[in-house]
Amino acid sequence: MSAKIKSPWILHYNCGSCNGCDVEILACLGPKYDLERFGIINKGNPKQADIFVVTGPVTKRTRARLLRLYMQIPEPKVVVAVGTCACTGGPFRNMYNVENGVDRFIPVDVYIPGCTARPEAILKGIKKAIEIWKIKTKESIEVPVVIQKEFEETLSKMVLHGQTVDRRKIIHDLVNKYIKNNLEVTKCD
Amino acid sequence: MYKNFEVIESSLEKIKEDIKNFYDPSKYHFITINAIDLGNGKVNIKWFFAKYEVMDKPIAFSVDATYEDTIPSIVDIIPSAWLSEAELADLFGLNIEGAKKGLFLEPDSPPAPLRRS
Amino acid sequence: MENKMIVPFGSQHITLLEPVRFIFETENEKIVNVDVDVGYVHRGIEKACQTKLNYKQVAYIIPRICGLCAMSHALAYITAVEKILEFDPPKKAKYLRVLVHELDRIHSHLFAMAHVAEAAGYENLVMHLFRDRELAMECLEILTGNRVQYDYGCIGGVNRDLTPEVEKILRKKLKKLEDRIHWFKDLYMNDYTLSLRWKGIGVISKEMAEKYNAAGPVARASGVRTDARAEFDALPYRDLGFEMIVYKDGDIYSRNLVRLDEIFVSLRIIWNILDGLPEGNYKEEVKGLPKGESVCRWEAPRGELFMHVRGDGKQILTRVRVKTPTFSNIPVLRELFVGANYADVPAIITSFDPCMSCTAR
Repeated sequence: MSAKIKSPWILHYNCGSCNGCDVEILACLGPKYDLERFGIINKGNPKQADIFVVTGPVTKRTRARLLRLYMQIPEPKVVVAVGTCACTGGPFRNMYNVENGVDRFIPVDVYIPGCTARPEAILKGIKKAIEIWKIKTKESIEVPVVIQKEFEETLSKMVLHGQTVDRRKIIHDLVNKYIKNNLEVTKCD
Repeated sequence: MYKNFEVIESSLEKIKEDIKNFYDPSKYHFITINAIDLGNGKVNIKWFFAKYEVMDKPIAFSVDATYEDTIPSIVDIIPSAWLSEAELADLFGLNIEGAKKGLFLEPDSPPAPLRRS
Repeated sequence: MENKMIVPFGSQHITLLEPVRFIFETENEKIVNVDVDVGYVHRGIEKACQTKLNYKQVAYIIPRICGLCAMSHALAYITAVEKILEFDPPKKAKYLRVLVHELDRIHSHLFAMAHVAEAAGYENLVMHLFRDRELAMECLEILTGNRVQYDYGCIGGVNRDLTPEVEKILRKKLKKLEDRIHWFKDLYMNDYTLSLRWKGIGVISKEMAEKYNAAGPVARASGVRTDARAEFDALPYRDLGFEMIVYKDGDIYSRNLVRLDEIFVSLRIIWNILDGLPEGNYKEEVKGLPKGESVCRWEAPRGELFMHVRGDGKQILTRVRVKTPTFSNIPVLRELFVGANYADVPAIITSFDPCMSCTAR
């Protein structure tokens, strides 16, 4: 565990931002701000990542991917919402193809405001995220916001019937069901 | 009305012929197709071209149509037009020959969002 | 063939900054068919420009289409509206717009080059490019007040003046940057790794670029002489020593060299502006409501940006259409993949410097 603490790897996903926060995240990884001094590497694989850095107001086509990526990151995980539009929708709030912020779908631990978020703010936010991540354990399983209600109902039902509860499995099943029922995946062409 | 570009009026039947006669790939750069909702189910469509390397006004072919009309596709003359046509078919709900819907919109997005009404 | 394989690429991938999905049909290593989905970032900005916001507010939502070329979007929209209003901005404002626009181009090109180097696995060069990109970012920050979304232009001029103190700092930083760009040029011309990885990969011929209407550095690397700075009369580029950079080979390597040489041109333009900035107002009051239709062609860092604006004499415009550079380059990108090796895909995509948030808006 102590070796892991020194290397929090990040997964970056853009769910519809203007690119501004994304370039600032990359600028943070560059030599001037040097986020990598905390042991951070930008990883493309969710299964190796610990900190999920999300930008953008969540468009209708990216929301299913956002949930899937979140589910694929192993616990303990921390979510950082970078930029005003990831926090609340920002300038894109209430546009017809926008879902107004990341926290409508997944639990967010750190919000970094700003249009665009400054590299200093991103540095501080990710430092904060590492602190939160250190406290979390493998057992701290969080429930995605969209299935919170169903999860509680299923859980109380199972406890009532005296079944053994595997929180992780319930969440996975419910998220898959939610994506299948509500977020139909369309294909171009 | 048109401040800094030239407009060549055309019609739905003639537009394909006009563009075919006009367009020379080594001389003209095809910019895009754009539609403007005029209200009352009418729509104005413009095909934009510009000359390479010369400081000149862009040229637009203009056609007035309704949402029920079928708009001819120019993909066989200008192969790169498929993207512009797919966008118009999606965001305006125009019937363009061969253009597929669903480039930008999801099933729960509002249909044809750029129409006024 | 029996052994066709479908390889999805995206929407989340380490080389991709933004969500875009390609579905490659491959035979062994060769790509035989490709399907592209560019609609991930569609937010509906055009609709908001036509319903929620008045024409002056639109100038501040339009740059939010794309963070990397925010200045191009804002200025193209502002120019289109000023053409409708038949307003000619003060000369000083025009020069300051060119200044910020060219600084924007420098940082965007350095970013694109870093991205291509990353796809080639040249981590050292990436870090060098990122370090020197910060010089351009510092210039922009001290001039406009923000690092990415500057909102520097406004209808009637620009929002801030260039003070002598700022000019002094700009000169110092740009001198340093210019030395570094010379160093990069030397590296790009002589480094064995770069030419080995990039020469002859992803070749677009001149005929192909013309047939599919490629734009920007992609077209100029293939020998098509097109640059909206020379083709559209909006800013005084002729007086400032503008020169079109054209290469012939059309591969990834020449696309990089076009970007590198354009940085030199941009730097020359900036020096000319700093040396000969005209006196006068930087902002003037604009009266009236837009009535009529106008277009604006603008050379964004990625290519030709096209703005079509129509107003009917009301506060809220009837139509704002943005055609972005990557929107023009997607068809040629799709054709280019057929017959390419799958291993070259990340390098080809990044050499186009695609901007999906522009494409989908």
